[in-house]
Amino acid sequence: MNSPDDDRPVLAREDAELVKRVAEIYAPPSLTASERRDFQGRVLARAGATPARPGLRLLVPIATIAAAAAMAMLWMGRPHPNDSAPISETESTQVSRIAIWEYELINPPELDDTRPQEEVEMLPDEYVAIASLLL
Amino acid sequence: MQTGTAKLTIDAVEEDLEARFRSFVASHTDRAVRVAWRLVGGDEAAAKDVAQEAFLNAYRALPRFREEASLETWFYRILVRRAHNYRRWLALRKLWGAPWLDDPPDPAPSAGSDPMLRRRIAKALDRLTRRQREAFVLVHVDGFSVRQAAEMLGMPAGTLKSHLHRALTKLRAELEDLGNTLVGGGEDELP
Repeated sequence: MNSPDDDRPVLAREDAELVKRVAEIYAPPSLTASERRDFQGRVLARAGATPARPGLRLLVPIATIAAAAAMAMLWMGRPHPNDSAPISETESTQVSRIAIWEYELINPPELDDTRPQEEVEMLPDEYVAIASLLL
Repeated sequence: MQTGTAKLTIDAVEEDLEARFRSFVASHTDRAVRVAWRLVGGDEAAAKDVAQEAFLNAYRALPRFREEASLETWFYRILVRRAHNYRRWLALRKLWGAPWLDDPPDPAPSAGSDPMLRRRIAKALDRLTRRQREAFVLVHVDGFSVRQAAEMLGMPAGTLKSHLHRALTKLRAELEDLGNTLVGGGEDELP
């Protein structure tokens, strides 16, 4: 029978037996005295290392992160010297050379039949003859 | 002078808190580890970690609680939540491929009862929903009242009773093939 403070549902006999056996079988081994002492010692040591106001513990890392974020935003938002300067003719030429180089890398000229065969034309006749036999 | 008096008062309050905390830890260690063990699925190390973290939470919250009873309910509420977080983390670990976690170690290998029977019960509990398992463990297995458990789980008592009923129905179905071994009162014999 349940005590007045016990508001747990009253179970049928079979269910009560099932619950009892589950509680008995599915239980951890009891803590030994040394395990208990060790556990409590660790809890108290960690609690002792905790300041009275745990919020203060977070203050330093939060302030550091906020400062780093502010610095990063300032650094990224600063006016870049290349942002406003007009592009000079030399720079323009360099850019177009790079574009041509990139285009040739993707479309190798040796695979393009429409290009003038300058290299072939410069070869001596006998080399051209051998090449025509082999190719 | 006033500063000195204030410091003395703070010291006294801190000493009082320390004493209260020591007493709380001493009186709840065994039960906390046991409840955590059942909720995390029988892993002793995980249960101790969960209980330890819950105690630290209790230490930080101690000044807010005047009554031991309300601190206790609050403490076990934290413990249940931490145990749930552990289970969720474990499920994620399994999901993302940690093959050694597929087959958990035998719960309580040093306990006297049959390891296969323990494993079956662990699996049956595992198949309950989170709320059913928590309600069943807190009320039926660990002996908390419905009112306490409802507060711990943050639900009305009626809802908790409904979870208890469903949990028991499922467990009865899951473990009925154990027949005489479990319900009939046999001594840990396997079928």
